[in-house]
Amino acid sequence: MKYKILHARPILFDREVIEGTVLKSSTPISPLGDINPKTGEIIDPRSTIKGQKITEKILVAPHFRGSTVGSYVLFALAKYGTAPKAIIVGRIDPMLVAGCVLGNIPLLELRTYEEIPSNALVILKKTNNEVEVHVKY
Amino acid sequence: MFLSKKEERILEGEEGEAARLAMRTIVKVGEALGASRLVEIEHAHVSGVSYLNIGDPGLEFIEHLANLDARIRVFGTINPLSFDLDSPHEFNITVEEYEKQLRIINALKKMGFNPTFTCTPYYIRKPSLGEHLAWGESSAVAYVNIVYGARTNKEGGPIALLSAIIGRIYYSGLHLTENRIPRVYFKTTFNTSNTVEAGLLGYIIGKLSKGRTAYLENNIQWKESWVKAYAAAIGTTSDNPLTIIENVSPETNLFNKEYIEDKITITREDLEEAYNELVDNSSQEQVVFFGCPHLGLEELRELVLTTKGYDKPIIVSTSRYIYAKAVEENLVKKLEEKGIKIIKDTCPIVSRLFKPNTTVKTNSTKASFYLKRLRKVKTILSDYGETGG
Repeated sequence: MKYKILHARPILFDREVIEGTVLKSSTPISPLGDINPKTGEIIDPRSTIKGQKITEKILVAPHFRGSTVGSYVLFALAKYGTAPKAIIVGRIDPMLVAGCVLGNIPLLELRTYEEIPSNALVILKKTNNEVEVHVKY
Repeated sequence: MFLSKKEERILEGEEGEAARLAMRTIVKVGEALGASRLVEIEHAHVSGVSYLNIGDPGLEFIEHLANLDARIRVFGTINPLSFDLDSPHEFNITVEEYEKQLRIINALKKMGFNPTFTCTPYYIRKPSLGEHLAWGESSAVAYVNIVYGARTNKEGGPIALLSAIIGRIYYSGLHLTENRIPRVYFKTTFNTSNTVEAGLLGYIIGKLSKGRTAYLENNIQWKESWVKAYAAAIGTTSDNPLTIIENVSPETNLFNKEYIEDKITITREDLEEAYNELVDNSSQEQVVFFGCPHLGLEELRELVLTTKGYDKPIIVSTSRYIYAKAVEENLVKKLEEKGIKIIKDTCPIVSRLFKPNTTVKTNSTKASFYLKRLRKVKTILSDYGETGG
């Protein structure tokens, strides 16, 4: 098994290790309107991951967008048990950070997020000042 | 981020779970934005109060906080609802939507928020120069930065709510003097003369300033309604709500030509172009609307004077705070005699008052922008004076 290691900035990361399967969107995500919090399904018709469930996935996206009420939707995901294991974005914003605190969802910023392939298995490992994203090939 | 002893204690949960969660959120967002510390605020104004906007996730979070016995530490006001509390049946909502809206209101009241339901909280508590606030609602944020030199960024509803609970917000953006110094200088080839022009100007300057604080050369006194229209419009095109306007803003002393990166002249042709982007002149209006942002007393008085009856229905929105004052002044009766309908607690943008494809005449650039996008309503922009008979 071969690994590629990427170095991400931890925005919210209290755990030592998280392992999971990537669900990668090429389009920005607006929690309000794009995600059904009750099912965890992406319902944005223009999304590249339309119809897929974010639940228990490592959700990767360029960035988030849309109404600031999106923070409440991320809280609701946690409440309904439909939250992803972690979120990795190219660029963070206040709505996403607030929502991940409220929903207790680990959040990483990684400018080179595009290097993470769709459906890859990844291990997120905390080091001193960063989180290593180990991508399995 | 540097935290005081008291802030540390709140973060450790010594003042309850709600305060801990609020502190953690504000600190984490502040760190992400590069803030070095927090700043105490005097007033929080929360947007995202309408159930039609925030849905079950919003309802559940707000009730979650209330159930954790959250209490706000500063003066707190809240944005409009999706109906007038005194006439909900006129707003095309279901019983479920009505009941869930009442649950949101009750939870916010339990935390200590004043049931203001308005986008003009500055009438209820007037901010002072240099004061720090945490406000949602872009039009109000722009208005108090421009007119009072009060300091608030355009916060999201959830952030404003959580900052009310800890009485603090991250010290970043427009809280810092350095970010209030104008970087783009605007002048116009005309004198602004009504609310529509002021709104279009805000819309254009928001686009052209690209997130930087703007400075606007201006030789004349602006009416309150013009500044409101300008402030509401700049919120539709820019994340930075601050323009320092000569003869309007108290902070013209922040101008320093060495910081100016661009000088831009706006002409009547630019106004025309913006106008054409927003309006649909192909159809005749079916209804006239004033009150985005919610009208103040001065505007209601002006309406009494300028409106002489009209062959289309005229709807006006305001807050229940201003409405009560307007009743005292006998303005409500005078407006109703002219066939004007007054709604409060809400507005056509956040409610279902207007059906899709209706054509609405309004003086508000912001209303024109959002009615089209959110309600699929066509708009015509026109000033008060042109509406009378």
